[in-house]
Amino acid sequence: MGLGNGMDSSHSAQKNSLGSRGTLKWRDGRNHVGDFQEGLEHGFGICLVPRPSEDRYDCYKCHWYQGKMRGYGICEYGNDLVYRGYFKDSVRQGFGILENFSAEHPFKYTGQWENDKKNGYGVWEDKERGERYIGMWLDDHRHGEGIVVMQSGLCYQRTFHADKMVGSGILLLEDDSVYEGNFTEELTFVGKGKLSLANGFVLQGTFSSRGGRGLSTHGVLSTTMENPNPVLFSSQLGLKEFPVEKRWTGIFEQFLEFLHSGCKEEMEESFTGFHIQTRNQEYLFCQALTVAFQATYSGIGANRHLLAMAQEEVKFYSKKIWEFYQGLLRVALERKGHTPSEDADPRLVGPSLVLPLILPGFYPELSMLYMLQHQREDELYCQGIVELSLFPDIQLLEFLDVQKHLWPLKDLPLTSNQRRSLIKDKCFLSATECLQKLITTVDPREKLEILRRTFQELELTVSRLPGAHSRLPMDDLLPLLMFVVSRAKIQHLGAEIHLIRDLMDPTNQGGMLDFLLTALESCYEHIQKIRLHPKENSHSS
Amino acid sequence: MAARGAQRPNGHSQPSKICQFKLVLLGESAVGKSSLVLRFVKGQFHEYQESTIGAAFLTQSVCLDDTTVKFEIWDTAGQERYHSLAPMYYRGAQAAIVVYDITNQETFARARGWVKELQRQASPSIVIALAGNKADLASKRMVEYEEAQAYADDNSLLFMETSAKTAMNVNDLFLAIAKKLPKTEPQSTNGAGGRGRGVDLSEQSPQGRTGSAAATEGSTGICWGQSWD
Repeated sequence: MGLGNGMDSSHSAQKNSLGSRGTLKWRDGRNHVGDFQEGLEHGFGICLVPRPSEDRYDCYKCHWYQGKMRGYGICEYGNDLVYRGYFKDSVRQGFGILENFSAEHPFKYTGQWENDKKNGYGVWEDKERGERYIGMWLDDHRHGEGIVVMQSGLCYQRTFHADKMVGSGILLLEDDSVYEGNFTEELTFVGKGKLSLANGFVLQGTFSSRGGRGLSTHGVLSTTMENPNPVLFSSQLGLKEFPVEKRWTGIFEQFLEFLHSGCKEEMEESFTGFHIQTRNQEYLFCQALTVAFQATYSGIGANRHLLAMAQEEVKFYSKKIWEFYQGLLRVALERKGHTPSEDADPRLVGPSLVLPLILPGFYPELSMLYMLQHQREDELYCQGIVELSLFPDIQLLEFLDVQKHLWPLKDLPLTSNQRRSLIKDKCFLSATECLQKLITTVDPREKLEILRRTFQELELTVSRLPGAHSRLPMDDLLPLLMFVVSRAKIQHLGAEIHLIRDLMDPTNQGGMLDFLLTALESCYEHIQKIRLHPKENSHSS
Repeated sequence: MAARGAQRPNGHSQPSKICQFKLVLLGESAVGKSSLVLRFVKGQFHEYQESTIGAAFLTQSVCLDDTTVKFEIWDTAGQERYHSLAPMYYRGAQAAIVVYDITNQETFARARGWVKELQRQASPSIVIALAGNKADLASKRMVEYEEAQAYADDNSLLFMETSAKTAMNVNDLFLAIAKKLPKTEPQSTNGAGGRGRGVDLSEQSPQGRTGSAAATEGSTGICWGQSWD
């Protein structure tokens, strides 16, 4: 879809010292309005190009450089396709999004372009089929490693060759069974393969489809049930196939170029197009990253097998943005005539400073992936919470082995009946309410701070009790925390805990905040196992 | 984590590195786990030190010749019902103290169970110390010193009888652990003992984190100075 320079044209322009602004009309109907320099399109311009057979135009709103499109641009094609992304030498090159808004075959491609074609890493969503391809492209064809995720939650990883699937692949079914081997696009197993069922059974053999419906196989079914393969259950796709530094290179390249060009303000828009609304430099290219992230992991892409990829991406972004920030700083310092000082080791601190700033842009998709990944444990935990919520406070304190002298009931001169009705669900209320704020924040640092304050509240409550030791050992603290966690009833606690652990500053490991998080995690694990049988129930009353 | 150090106001300064180690405390309730640690850190912390959680998480540093060893001490709940949660606490720990009460044979049996579990499940390089606490109650002794010593020898454990009450052997126990821990420079490897889960952006040694700072004391001993935070 490149544009050549036409021969016969009429040109009207106003000259000024830098160049000119004007309109250039070709005899074939092309029409360019914008900035010119030395007779060539140069700067921002809008160009209308008539389509050969229809009475429609392709409309380019783009940056031009010596007569050619270069940098960020939007093209609204006459056939209802829209491209938003980068151009070079008048062809699509770098990161870009092509979307078909027409009713027929609506699709969206988000990814890398080379020489006007889809080339490199990109995500294709077929809106009609409800299918998303995440992987490599060559000249507009799926080519190389690829992951396909479907609306149903089913997904597979295969090698593609010119749009065709080749070799064997891995198919992750909705019921957690896994098939390794060859299969067709209609997901029929063909040839040698291994089907590992979620219950641990493994069927190994040769598969073939039987004409109409059904599957025939010659094979061995092993029912040893040794382990319902935990590796396969949690299998995370794409980590090896798509190294994180090779995804979305087109986005980072633009910014690098901008840096190397010396960050001239007039160039900013052509380099960073996507981000022009946000002037804050730290956020400069976050918007394109967010767009790419959503294109991969929202909607159909909300599949737990993609969690590791997504998590890796967010961490990599914060590292990359820190590098660019350092680059910008260097440019700024050099401009002012300072020599940039080499800091001791900023690599360690930087990314963990950036992460909280950019996380909100990725949080909805990321936390959804965590929820899906930890759905099972969270369900068990919810059952435990429901069971525990049947206890009034005193019974719960007793059930959890909280030492009697730590019960915050002592100084109330009430009969036990009064006490029960009065303080029901009120013990350690301040700590409980504090912990409940965990889901109101995005930043792992803030979440950990909430956890720390929860412990403070607990200690504060306990310190008011006569005869309680001011420094609680774990023997006392864990049952108290169990109480607070049971009462806080935080939804998706497992997803929360894992998200915090994965994204927290790694220098916390082994330290106080790690300890607090581990304590919370241990409560979560324990609550999953709580099942009250009638016997236990009567024991604890 | 590198170089978070403070120079002691009137101490002689000489270059030194700081190694941080996670140490986990295991043992039945009431054997005096936390008393032992409180005794060890006593005099060092301030009432409102930010980086402690009751007696459940504490830090204390020990000075060896050219190294400051900072312990991050993780207490665990000793109740049987919470036993199964222990692996979460000792994953990634570089040292463990398993405590029993010399006046209670059962707690010694329990301690042996902990040692077995650590040897099976914890990081393979973990340094394990066995502490027979309440040594001041010798008249009520139910676990013979020789028996415990022989058991420790068989399992290559550090062993001491301690008294949180009289402070007997408390500092010595931590010093002995500090000496036995590998004070290596940070490596770029991840993963030992479960520390490298997920993708770390920083390079970090699973064998303690090393940095450099001014030394507080040249000789071997406990640093009774400011905390390192």
